[in-house]
Amino acid sequence: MAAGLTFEQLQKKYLGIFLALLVLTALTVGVSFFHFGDVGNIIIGILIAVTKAALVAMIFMHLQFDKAWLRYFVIVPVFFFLAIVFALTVLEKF
Amino acid sequence: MSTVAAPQHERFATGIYHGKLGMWVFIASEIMFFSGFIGAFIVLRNLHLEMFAESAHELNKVLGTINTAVLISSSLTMALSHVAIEQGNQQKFRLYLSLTFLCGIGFLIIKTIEYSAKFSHGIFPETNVFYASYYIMTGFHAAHVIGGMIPMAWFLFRSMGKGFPQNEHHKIETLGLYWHFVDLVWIFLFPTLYLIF
Repeated sequence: MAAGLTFEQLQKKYLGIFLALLVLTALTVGVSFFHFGDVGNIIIGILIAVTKAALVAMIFMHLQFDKAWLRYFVIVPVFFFLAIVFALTVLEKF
Repeated sequence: MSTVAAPQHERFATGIYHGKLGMWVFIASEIMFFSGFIGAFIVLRNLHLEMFAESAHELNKVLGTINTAVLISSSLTMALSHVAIEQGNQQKFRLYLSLTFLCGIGFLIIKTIEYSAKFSHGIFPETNVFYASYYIMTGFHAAHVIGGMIPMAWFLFRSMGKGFPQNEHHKIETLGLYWHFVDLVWIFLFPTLYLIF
């Protein structure tokens, strides 16, 4: 699959991502036991989730090795999601 | 040391195996599907801050964490099973795909334990809007896990006997894309429901 990588290197990469995901899970659970103000926990939780998601999408789902335009299948819907959430949050203030 | 071939498919005008392209189109629609729930969750949360925090604290963080680890492990074994079939290693392919399937079962068992604990405490979707969101999001996610396990069982069945055809390894990659996406949804649901309150 991954251009320029041997199967052995690819397996090592997958294992590394797996360990990183476990560490990030432990981190996000650990952090949740502390309180960081009104939105602190939300921001930390989302940042860690986005990091984990990026690792899964880029490596496990091969976006790093595949044609770059495949990434728009993620970017476009996420953009619309953020636009809608932003609009709803702003509208609520009025 | 065999080098992995670059992902070139001259048969296809797009340069990508069409099953895989179709899966990405489907995943794009799935992102929007789950976005709807998460968007609704955000709006409802802003309307009922205290109730959401109270209800979220009743969820079992330990089981949620274990399930996260189970799904991450299943993603690893799924990815490894694709590497195995690309190399034509039937034994490893069967082993890793079976492990992925077992992780799926494990996830569903733990989810069932969580649900029945909530039911026995009289907590149902109609209890409040937090639990309505909780049940609909985790319920649809669990349905997606089952949906992934059906083709997985089929591929496992086909790998018996003569083995799964090596030249069909793209089917495993495509199934993997879906499976990793289901993992990805959980990566967002877990902090949203269990952790950030």
